[in-house]
Amino acid sequence: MTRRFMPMTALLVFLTVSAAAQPAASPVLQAMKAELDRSMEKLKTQPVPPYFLGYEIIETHGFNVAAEFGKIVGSGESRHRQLDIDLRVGDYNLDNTREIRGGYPQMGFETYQSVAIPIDNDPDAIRAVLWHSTDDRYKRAVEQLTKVKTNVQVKVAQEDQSADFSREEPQRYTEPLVDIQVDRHAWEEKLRRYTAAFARYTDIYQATAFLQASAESRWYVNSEGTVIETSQPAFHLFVTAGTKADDGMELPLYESYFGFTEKDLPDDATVLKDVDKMINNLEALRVAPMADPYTGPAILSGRAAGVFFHEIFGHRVEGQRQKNADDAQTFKKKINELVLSKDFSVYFDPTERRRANTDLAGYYLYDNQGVKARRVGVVENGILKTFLMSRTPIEGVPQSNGHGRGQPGLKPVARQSNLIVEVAPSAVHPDLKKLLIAEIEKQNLPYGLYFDDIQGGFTFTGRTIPNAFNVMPLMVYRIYRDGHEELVRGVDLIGTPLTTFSKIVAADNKVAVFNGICGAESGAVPVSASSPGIFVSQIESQKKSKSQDRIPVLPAPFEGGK
Amino acid sequence: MRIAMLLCLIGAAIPARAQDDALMRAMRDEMARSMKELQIPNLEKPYFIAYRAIERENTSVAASFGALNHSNTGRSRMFSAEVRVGDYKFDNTNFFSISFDTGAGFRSAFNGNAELPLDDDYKELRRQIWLATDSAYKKAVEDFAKKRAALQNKSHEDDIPDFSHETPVTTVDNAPPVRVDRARWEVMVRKLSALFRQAPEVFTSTVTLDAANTSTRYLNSEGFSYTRNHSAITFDATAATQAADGGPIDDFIWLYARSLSELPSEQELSARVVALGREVSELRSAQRIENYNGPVLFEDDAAAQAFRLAFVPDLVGTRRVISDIPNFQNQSNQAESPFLDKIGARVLPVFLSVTDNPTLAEFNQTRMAGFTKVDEDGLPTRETRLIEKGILKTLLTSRDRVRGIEQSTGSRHAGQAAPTNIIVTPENGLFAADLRAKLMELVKERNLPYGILVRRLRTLPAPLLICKVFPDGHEEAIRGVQFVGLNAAAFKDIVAASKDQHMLTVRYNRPREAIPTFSFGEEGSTPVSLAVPSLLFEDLTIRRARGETPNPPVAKHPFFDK
Repeated sequence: MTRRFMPMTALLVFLTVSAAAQPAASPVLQAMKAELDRSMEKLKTQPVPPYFLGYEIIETHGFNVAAEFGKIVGSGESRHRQLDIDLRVGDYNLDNTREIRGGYPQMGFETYQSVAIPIDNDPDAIRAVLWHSTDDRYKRAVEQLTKVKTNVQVKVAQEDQSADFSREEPQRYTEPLVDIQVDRHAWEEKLRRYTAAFARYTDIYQATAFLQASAESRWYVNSEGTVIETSQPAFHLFVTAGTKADDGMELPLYESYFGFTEKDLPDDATVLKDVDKMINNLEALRVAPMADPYTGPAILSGRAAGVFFHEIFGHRVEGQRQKNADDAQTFKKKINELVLSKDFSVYFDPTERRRANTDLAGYYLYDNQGVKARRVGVVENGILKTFLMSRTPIEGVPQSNGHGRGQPGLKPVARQSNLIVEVAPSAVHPDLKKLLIAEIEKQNLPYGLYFDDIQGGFTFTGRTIPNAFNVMPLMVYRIYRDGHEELVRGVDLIGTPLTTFSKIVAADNKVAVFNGICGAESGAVPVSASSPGIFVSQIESQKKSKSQDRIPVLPAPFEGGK
Repeated sequence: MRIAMLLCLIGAAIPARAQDDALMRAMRDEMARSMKELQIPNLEKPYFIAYRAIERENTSVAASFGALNHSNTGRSRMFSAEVRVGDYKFDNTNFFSISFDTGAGFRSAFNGNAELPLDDDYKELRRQIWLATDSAYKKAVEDFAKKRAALQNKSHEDDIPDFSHETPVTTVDNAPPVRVDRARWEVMVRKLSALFRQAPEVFTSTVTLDAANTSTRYLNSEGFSYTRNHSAITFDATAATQAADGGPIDDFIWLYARSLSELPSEQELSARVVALGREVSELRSAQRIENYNGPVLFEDDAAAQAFRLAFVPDLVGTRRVISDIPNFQNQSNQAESPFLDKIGARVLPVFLSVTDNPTLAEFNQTRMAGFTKVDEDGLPTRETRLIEKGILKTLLTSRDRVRGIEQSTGSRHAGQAAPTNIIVTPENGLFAADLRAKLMELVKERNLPYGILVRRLRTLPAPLLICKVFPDGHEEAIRGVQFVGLNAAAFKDIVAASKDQHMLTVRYNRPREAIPTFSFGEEGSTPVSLAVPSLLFEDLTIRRARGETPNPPVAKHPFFDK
């Protein structure tokens, strides 16, 4: 899939592809280019002219169907386009986007400024919106630059002296636009079937399945000459269900499926089997004993390990965090140092489409700043090599590596794509359970823990609060010395990142992929994490906080299973 | 059962109807069970439960500059349960508290609200109603205990009961649904928005058409019930520009109709859109003034707007709220209607009387948007004489009691007491020309060079357009001013009114609100029709609006930059 070409050939390809696929030569792209050129021309005469202007328009043609307990609760189709503008005044070194130290902390929603663009391919109407929004952004940028310049003078010299914006080679790439059609009625029927089994239970209080299918087309142009047009369908299917223990603890479970085409989603039999498993797990969780706080060895299944790496490692190698004065910068000074066992490598590859027979949701060819996506080896043989980079440089890493991502309306920052954990053969053990039992015997513990499924979690990377993580496991088992397993509930996996990484010692060969949507300062972006199961010689867990709401006062108003 | 028969006959026209049997049945059965059995041992039983299910079908199309911005349809069925514990004198309501339940999950966050399946199924409807009632009940008993505790060691000034006693009725209020031809509407909004291609001085503009068919089923434990099917179409056009000095100029058209036939013809809409563009453009060249003290005449639409913005919100009875949050007192006291202490006193000149009359379908050959047979508590609506010959008689109330008013006026709309159709009747009103002459008389008495006419008013304190009117009759347009001290109290000193009333329909947003209410499905606003004569104030203060305004755009609108 990776296509590399020289700038000259690229232009040629661009013309041919767009001529062949779209006789109208992409009116959206043309309107963007025309207004971008005109804006740069007109604003050139101003005392503080922009040195960079980028437009991105994202069209989402989406189909959403949701069912609860076997019945439809919502079904709809929508099409919308959103515009994002990156306008910069000053220069690559110091511009209006620099963080104001001592100012209000920037929360995502304050800077949210997506603008609706007509969905008709009408260049005049599209340009009218581009014009007015550009002007608005220009004025704000000029004001902001004044504040930035004052701030730079008033405050102590910044620790990180890197520039504000990286220089990148212009890119030209277009691919034919694709659209999708989804038979909503067929999906309504499917989702009714997927959730019908939950309806038999009186103690499952929430059970939903939803389909989010969309074709996302992106047009990007900037004043450096980058012109990109890409188009990608994505099908997400989620099933969630939850029960409550008698002590009020909420017990949710999730399944998510992803594919680039409708055919890549699992068949009914697979989903129904997972639903049955969810029901059994919910019923088992409801009566499972509460876990006690624990320190000792643990196994994380491939899927749990993927989420674990995403949360506690991935978010800490997002480049801009190494620059933010309020961030703990866990890894900033650790480049070329050992941060994981030398048998472990972690890379991010947005150009990889499929792994372990699963489509990867973090796939893309160009990021939201028009930079070409590429594989980034962040940890090689245990040694930290680099960070995930957007066009915001950090000390020692002046270029983007194609990870500037964000949802429409939010400023792109370095975000994860497809996280892949690879383990050298020397650290692979076919049976991690054996390792675990040996370790608990050594540490003289009654049991070890096995994390089968993790919901996600949160991680603090700031300085003002302890730099810890907390991931929320859904299915956790105690493994006793004799090998028998016992399901427990109410476990939160906690710890500090560097200590925890140093305790990861082995892996199995069962690679699992977790596809999901990650939320951070630049909004929700699709990501994946693939990892084999891992063995950690020591983890720490605490009791999960729980709802004080008791189970319903009255029994269910119908007969059902318990 | 005549009512039941009527229900079925009218129901035949509404497809959603067939399902409502199951919905109403599920509501009735769960309510009966809850009233009888819902109780946490040693805590209060509910003394009142109300259920409201709102099904809505939406269509929305919007365009700007000739191109479609969106074209959507949607369908939802929302449910809310109100549960009261204690008794009519003292219950869990009128109390504000914040609680953080860290592990709170599936239901408690919604406090009695639920999304119901669109598929009709008695059992699944009942599951959701059961769980919503359960969460509403738990919050009610908790609030009740907290409210009692908050008052335990305090002297409590007002001993107003919490809930009014009313006589149960069953009401049917059905209008046929609107069937929108979405493709036709798309063509229409494109055409209407393209009219701005002839308005080079308008910077941004939109044209939106929305339609909603809403079907409400209500039931309470006292025996009230109603079904209400109604439809609303709104037409919305906006235009914005800036004067040469940067001063923002925004105006809009907002029209409300109950059926397609009530909507003005496309030709008429075109004329109004063109006029909107023209008027906004003309305002760019209006003058500025520093200040003015003297007589002010609000003509037609501006009089009706001023009345609804500055005066009508005070006609709604609201009470102070009890809270266990320190420092809430201040906010709570502000929530109380200032007019509560003016009942029996003069609030308008003796030649003006005001009624709220939801039973009027039509007035002065105009369809009244506030026409409805039943309010949200299930009470039949009726005319309320609010002000007679300048003397305040009562305020609009719901069943939530306010000081000095025992009964509901049947005025709960959009979640709290709200106006519907406001009729201001002048006695011995003047012809328009005579009113103008009266203004000039006052101008002469005061020895002023000119008087002020208010022509267009959308918000307070800043009118969009006022005019200087000179003794020789010529007028000069002024923009960028604001009123000082134009509040409800100022209306007492109105010196004259016109004979004719101007008809205005607007969206009425909830005014002062101490408790942020949150209820699924209900609208946050309600349409209100007003009939108001032109109003002459003897003495008002106007000053230049100050503040920073952005400069006009650097580049010209791309469409007109040729």
